[in-house]
Amino acid sequence: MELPPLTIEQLSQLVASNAPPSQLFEALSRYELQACLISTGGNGPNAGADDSTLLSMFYSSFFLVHLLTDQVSEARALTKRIPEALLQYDPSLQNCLTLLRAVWQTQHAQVYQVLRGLPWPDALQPLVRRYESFFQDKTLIEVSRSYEAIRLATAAVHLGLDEQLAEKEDPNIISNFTKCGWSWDSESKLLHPKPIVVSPTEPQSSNGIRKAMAMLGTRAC
Amino acid sequence: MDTTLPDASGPSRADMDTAALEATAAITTPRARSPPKFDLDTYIANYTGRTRYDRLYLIGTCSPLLSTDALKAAIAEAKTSKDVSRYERAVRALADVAPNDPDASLDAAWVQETNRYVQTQTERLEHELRGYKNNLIKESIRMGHEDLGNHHYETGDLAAASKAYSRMRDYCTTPNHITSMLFKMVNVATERGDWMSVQSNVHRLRNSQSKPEDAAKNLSKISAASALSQMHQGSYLEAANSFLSVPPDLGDTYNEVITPNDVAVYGGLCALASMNRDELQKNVLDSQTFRNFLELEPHIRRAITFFCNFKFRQCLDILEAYRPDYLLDIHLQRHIPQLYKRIRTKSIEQYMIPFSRVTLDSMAKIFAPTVVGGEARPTDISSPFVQELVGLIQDGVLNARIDLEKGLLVSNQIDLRAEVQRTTLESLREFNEEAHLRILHAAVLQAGLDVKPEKGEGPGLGKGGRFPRGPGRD
Amino acid sequence: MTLLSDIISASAHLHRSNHLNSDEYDRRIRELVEYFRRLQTTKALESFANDESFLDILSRFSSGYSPSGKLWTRAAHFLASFDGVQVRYAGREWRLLVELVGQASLAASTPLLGATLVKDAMLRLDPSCAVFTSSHLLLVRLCLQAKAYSSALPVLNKQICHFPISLGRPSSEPSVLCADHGSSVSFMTEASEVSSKISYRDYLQYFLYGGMVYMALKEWRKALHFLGIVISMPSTSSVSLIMVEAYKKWVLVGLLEKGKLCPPPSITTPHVVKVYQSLARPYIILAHTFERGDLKKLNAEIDAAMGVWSADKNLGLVAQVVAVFFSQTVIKLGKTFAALTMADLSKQVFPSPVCAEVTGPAVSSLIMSRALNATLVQTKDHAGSSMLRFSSIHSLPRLSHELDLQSQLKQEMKLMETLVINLGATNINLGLSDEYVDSLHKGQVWSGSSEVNPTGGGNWT
Repeated sequence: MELPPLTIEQLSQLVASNAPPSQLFEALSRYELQACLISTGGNGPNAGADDSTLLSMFYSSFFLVHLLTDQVSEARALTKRIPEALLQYDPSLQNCLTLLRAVWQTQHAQVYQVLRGLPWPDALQPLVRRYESFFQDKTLIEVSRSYEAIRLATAAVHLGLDEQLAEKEDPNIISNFTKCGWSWDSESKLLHPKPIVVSPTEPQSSNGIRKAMAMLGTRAC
Repeated sequence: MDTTLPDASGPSRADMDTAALEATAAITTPRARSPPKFDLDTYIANYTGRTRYDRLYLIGTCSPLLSTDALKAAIAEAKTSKDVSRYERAVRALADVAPNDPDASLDAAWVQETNRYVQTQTERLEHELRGYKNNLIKESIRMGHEDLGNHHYETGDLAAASKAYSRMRDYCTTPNHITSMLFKMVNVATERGDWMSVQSNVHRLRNSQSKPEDAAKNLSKISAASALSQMHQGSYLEAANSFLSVPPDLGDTYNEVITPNDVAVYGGLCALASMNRDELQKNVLDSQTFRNFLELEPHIRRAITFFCNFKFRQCLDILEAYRPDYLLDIHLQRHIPQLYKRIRTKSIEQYMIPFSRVTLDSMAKIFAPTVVGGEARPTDISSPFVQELVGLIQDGVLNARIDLEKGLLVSNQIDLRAEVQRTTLESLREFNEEAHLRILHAAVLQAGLDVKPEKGEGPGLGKGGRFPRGPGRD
Repeated sequence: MTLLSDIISASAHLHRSNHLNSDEYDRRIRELVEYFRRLQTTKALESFANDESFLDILSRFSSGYSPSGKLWTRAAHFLASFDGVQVRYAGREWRLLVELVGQASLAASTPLLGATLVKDAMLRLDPSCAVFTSSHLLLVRLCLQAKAYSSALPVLNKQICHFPISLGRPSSEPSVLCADHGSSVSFMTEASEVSSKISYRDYLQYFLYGGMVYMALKEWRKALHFLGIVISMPSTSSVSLIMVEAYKKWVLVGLLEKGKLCPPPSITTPHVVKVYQSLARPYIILAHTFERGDLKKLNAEIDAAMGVWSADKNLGLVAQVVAVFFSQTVIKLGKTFAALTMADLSKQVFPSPVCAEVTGPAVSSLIMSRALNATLVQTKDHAGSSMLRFSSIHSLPRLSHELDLQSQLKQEMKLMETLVINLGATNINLGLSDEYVDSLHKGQVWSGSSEVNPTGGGNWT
């Protein structure tokens, strides 16, 4: 409960740290109450610019951490909790909204463009870069499971690689995929992905079904 | 025994024919060019009684090729009877197709004379009947009703005939009387198209206590009538089994309704439409009794044999060749589209059984040769044959999926392991949800918190009107 | 507030200094609470010199109260650290504090703060959260208002199986509150006043709002279960509008989750079902159109009843129904086809031609989001000739898929175990022993589980 107060320094430290996303999420969740207090309480004359910088930074990073932990629906709910006035005029929060839209509609090219092309404050850069690689990894896994054969250009778009180079069958781009075990058929000009399996989280006993059925049998009479 | 239906509830023959005609018009018209295989005179010679006219009239109104001949024969047929309305109807029909034919104008003198005869005859018979009733002699009264019934039947007043026959019931003294009365009722009901009544009278016939030798003699007719009514009610499997059980001694004894040839055709088609290959082999081809009927219509036997031997194309070809004939049959006409559709569907289904995968091309060659000939890509998604398969799969007839990549029809293999896992999880979930619901129910009732009307509030008006702004609405 | 904290600290002191058994502890703490309650009233009288009650004081300072204030901090601190067992003896005061916090956070338009505190306090008092209280409703309200949907989940995901009841067994002694109870129903009684007086509207609203929280998180199945609870609750003669409201959402969520019109749970009373059918006609028509699979008609149906959707505040759900229509259609296609090209798919799904550039990405994102179990095979040149294979040749993901299933199974089994425990508690409350049930079994012919017995809903096990 004894949380150091929410300040820009505290926040930058958190954001720049290499803590796992779930820990980041945990930490920022606890700060949301403070942010909430600041946004409602701090309307005195001395507050203002400082507070809104802090809040902007807090909400932007909290938003990115939501995405980093793959909670898109919750990220959307968060954008509804951000004070309206702040959301409307703060450029980095506006970026977040654009990003949300792209992620929500699974517009891969758009996502990379927002992450790379739009101006993000320096303090947020670590999170933005982390999310970019998270999104890339996630997409790579999804593509590997969804396609049995894919054109190099399509794969490049999904992964945010240079589409022009891909059209020219750039060996660097091809090697990006072949090093994941995918094979490149230069004849048909198609990549054949190898499904990437995420290692299981916890081992399970195999007699789960039998147990479940037995329970059903004794109870469902 | 009161089987007399009010006139309104039993659709008249004519009504049903028009309905059937509308239903088959689409098929009849294009097929009119291919001539039927039968010879009209030979065909009609097989039948006796009023069905001759009905059959001729049907052919006359449905087949452009035979219409003049058939209608002229129908007119001649009507003129030998005492049924004026039939005569008039046939003449009207002929006037439509061949206005210049001498027969196409009404013979007014005959009409007038016959009408008068019918009138006096009715009065005479009714008078006689009243006399018998006064004398209280059962047998005479029975015969009086019978005569009156016969008279109404011959002159085409079927409702009155059926009424008169049903009144015989109380005056029947021997089982023979009862069976003869019931057969008369069956015939009238058949002509009226009142299949429920046929069915119930057939049932009574089966239970009547006639002598064993009479019972054996009647059995064939009873089975045939029963089968016919089942077919008309759309119960093709039951109909098939009934036709298959008709004893071969039916012979020419029931020509006023059905001939042995008809039994072979109706029975064969119903069986094809409702049985699988094994059943067809065992119950139809190997049947000692039905064999006799099948010999009369060898093409039906060939069709069934082809079906049993996986030669569906040949089977369907034979049936196609005879479609014009069957569309001119008084009983088959309205069932042909349905029967043929079922046979076709079942062929596709049976064809698929032994395979785990079949190429669409080879299937199309068998089941859609015209499509194969006519279209550039017979196995394209928009080809009628593929769409037909899609329909069959969606209706659950075919347990298979179409692979348009390799042009295959792949039968569904169930992954047992995955299936068990899925259903376990699903039933566990459902059980939990249901259990929770019921525990809550019990708790609500125990706490006395069930939803009830409140004082001072209209029934059913909770304060549900105002909700905070919630999710899912932006 | 300070009084309450005093009580608590005094009793904590008592607990530390003596290692008493439960009965003795129970007796002493009861006396202490009694004493403090008396004290509190007199103190209040003294300090204000008129007959303002404790409640008045509370409401007075709540009006001048802000979440940044000092009192708030103390309340927050207390709610986050109180001793769950001791508070069982001061249920009323605990509830008043929780309500106060809720009101104050709403008044300061920071419902998020209230939601977090209330949630933590509830879980602290009763970790199983199996007994419905007025705080439950307060919590979902706050969460909906704060749009902090997942904050409600720790409580929502616990299954409610009981209501506070008066344990009116004359023979038995008042139960020992501090003892280690198997089920919270034995200390969360009506007498404890840990919940304010509950009406049927309270729990109906709780489950409806809970359903809405799940809808916001797109957990359709859970939403459907919550809505199912609302629409199937026993009713004598009237139907609450809340139930009708829930039924409308039930129809839409059913389309989203299962792609069809779901019949109400089997224990719903038939007359209630009839009321739904007449009051939710546009929804039922919409569902039928959806099932028939004609996109054009579906859009027409939606346009025609636009007023209804927006009046019922269901526009958002209806919009999602349209979005799901496409994926449901494609998923159904997998039952008919093993493989087909994108161009074929467009032909089959859309009545009017739609270019493959539109369907291609839509289908690919369906697969990538795992809504559709299929794979794509691209060819060298044209987008329309991409092949969609429903029967995947990939065998590798199967392992992870099975593990996934296994963990879901395990979860459901845990749920079932909790239910079984709660069922035991219900049986005890209802006075149903195994012998009693057995005798019932012999005494009557069971007519199947679907029958509703409006007076004796507990007669099943």
